Amino acid sequence: MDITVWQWATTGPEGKPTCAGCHPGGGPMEFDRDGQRYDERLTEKPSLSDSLYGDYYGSHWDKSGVLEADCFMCHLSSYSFETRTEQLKNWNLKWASTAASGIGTVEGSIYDVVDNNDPSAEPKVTYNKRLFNEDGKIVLDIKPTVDDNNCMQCHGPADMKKRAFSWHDEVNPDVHSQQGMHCVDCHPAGMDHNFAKGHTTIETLRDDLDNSMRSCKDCHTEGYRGATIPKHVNIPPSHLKDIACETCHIPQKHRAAGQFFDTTHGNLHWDIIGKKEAWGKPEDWYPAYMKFDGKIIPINPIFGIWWGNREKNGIVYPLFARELAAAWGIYGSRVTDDNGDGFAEVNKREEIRLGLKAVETVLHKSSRFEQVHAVFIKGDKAWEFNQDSLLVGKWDPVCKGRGFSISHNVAPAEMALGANGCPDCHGYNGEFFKRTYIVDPYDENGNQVIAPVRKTIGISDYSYNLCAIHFPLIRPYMGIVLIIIFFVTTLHFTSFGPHDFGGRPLHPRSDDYERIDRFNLFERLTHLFVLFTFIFLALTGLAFAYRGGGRFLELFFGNTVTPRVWHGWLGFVFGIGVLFMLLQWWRDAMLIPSDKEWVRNFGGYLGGHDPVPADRFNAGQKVYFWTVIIGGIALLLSGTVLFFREHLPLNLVFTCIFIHYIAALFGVSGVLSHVYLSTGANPGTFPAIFVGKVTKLWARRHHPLWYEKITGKPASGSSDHQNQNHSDESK
Amino acid sequence: MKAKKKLFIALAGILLLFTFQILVIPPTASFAGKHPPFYLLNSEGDIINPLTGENADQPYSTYNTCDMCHSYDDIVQGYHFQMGAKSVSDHYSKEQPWVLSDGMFGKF
Repeated sequence: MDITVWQWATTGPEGKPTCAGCHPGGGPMEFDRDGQRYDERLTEKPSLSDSLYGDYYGSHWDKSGVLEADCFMCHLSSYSFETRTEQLKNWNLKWASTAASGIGTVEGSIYDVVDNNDPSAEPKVTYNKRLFNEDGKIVLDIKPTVDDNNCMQCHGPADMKKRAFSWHDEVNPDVHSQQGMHCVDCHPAGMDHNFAKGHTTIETLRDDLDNSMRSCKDCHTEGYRGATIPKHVNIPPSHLKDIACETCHIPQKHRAAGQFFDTTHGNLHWDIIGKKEAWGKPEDWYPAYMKFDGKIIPINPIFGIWWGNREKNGIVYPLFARELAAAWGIYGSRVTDDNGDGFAEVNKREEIRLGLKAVETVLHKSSRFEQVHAVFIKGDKAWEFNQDSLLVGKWDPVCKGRGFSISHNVAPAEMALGANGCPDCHGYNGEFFKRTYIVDPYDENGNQVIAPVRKTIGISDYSYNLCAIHFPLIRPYMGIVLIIIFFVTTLHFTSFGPHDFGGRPLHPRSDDYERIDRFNLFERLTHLFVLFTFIFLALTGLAFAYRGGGRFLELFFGNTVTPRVWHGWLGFVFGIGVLFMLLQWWRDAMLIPSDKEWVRNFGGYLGGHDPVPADRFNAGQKVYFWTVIIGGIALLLSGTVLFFREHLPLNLVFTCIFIHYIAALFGVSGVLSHVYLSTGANPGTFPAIFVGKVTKLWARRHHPLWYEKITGKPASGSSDHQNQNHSDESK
Repeated sequence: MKAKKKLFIALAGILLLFTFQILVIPPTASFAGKHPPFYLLNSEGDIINPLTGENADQPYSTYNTCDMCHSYDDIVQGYHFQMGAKSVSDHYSKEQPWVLSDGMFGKF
């Protein structure tokens, strides 16, 4: 941080607290790195304040005292942080708690005593006697726990990261805040005062306590304190597994946060979302996303523009603010403000070149590095001179941006992403994939370079476009396509009736009602397997595709996970059935010349009077068969990918989702037509696939070529006699 | 004699009940969650009594005051107080040698 402990305690920007304004004392505010109290040690050895010992350099601990842990900061709701700041800036460290807690007033200033050499400014306390009992004991409303407002005093101003203001945001308060919950409900602490933590993307302090706080799951699966137990019936389980609750339930933020900082001028220049003067101001913005701990989480992307020195070991060391200020003094006047925001930014190649040279000039004067080789990190590039002294900007591990995880501002469920269906995220305008984040705050012209957020979680443009077609354009119309099939088949039946060749009977024969084998047992069983598995797969698949489908699944299975598991496994059974069908019927499904006549006559379905040539399968059945085979294999292969989706690339998964739905759409449409054609359209057909037999009359009418093959008799003819003659001649 | 014996047993029973109550019920319970009144102590551990003027011009010391009932030394081990100071080491991070602890020592 480039500041001493004394500065940490007593120095802060105008109108803002010192670091110790929030750090509650105790620990390094009380004891030096050798475990000795600052005030006692400096009293014993005053020369330490003139030494380069960072704990004592320029300090006056002997007069100011130290900052003991201030219990009232958290446990007294009337604690004044402004008064604390005032006392700290006056170097009245040991008086700070007395004044800020309001139990007394403090007049005087160690700063004046030391800096202005004014002994009369020695701080004096006047206690508020009204707070004391007759016996001299003080009576204070000390809380056994911590009020939100006390937490907010520190975690609010640090809203760039801590985001406590958002908790009680008037525009979009956290639903938990609205329900009367407090900070310590999720972040409880025991007597060890180690508050339960979440797990943020940036902070590293006491990582061993990560995820010790009450998580969403802790309360919302058990119903703890009346928490709702959401079923997420319309959300695919993969989403619940891969996406953090916060990602969908914090769709938007309403408090400006930092988006990047620039140290070029030798100080910390923050750029705040919405170009606000301070973070925490009302501003609508949308979180970006990143993968963290195996889940996609919402983040506030934050990255720094900074300068470093690449040491001999290859590590880029960040520079002190004073070094950057010195360098800026050399070249700053030649840097222009290209985007007109009042801050001269280093963005042009010439400016970067000047900056690197100036930084190297400054570093050459110090001896803290074995090698001087300046590096400028901005956006996704690290700029430095190569061996030929040419300026090169390329990605380097030090460019890795940071995102601060977001967990407050949980919106009501009705506002969550996905509350309006899949297109909330997966549609062309879906927030989830369309949001952008800043890659580089200023290019050579001073303009921001942005990129879609989807890229940070591995979603390519290809996948995005596929989703944009699939979710809003195909899924919603699946039902309509099925209705159209119903309509067309009904219309056909109403117009043409059963396929009875114009109502003209064939010449009767005595054996017309004898039964012949059409399908053997194995064929029938295969068909049965495919039929039943397809019905299950189609019904559950359609339920997966529609928002309300989850309710339907819950009705039959009690939950939405079981049908998904069954859908996966039965998909394999269906696939195997399709392969068996291929093996047993592919020969019969090969097209033959006479099929042309069947096609020319539309199979007689548009009112023909005579049987149309057809072998065991007519041309229409053959086309349907190959459609089923191709569609079935497509469903099997794409389904297999989806079954193992967790281990496969997202592009492949999204492609297979697309193929799966298209194939399913054709499959379901085809099966509905198939059912119509084998029942209402062609009476007498339906039992064949169950009992395996058909009458000879049916065979003569619908598959005359096949009839002739298996009986050796002509399918057409006026009488048994003619048939007999024909048989004799053929012999 | 019998009356004396009964009186003895009754008194002993009452005494036992009181003893049991003292043992079982914590002393703060009588304050129904409110912090009891307490003395402020200065950095020397002396009582500050503004009503008598005793040390009344001195600031109170959290360490001496709160440590009377609560273990100050244990409490300040919490991470809000230590801020990573306990893990400060020049060798804390190989990849980022300027970072000295899991807190903000050496970094922003």
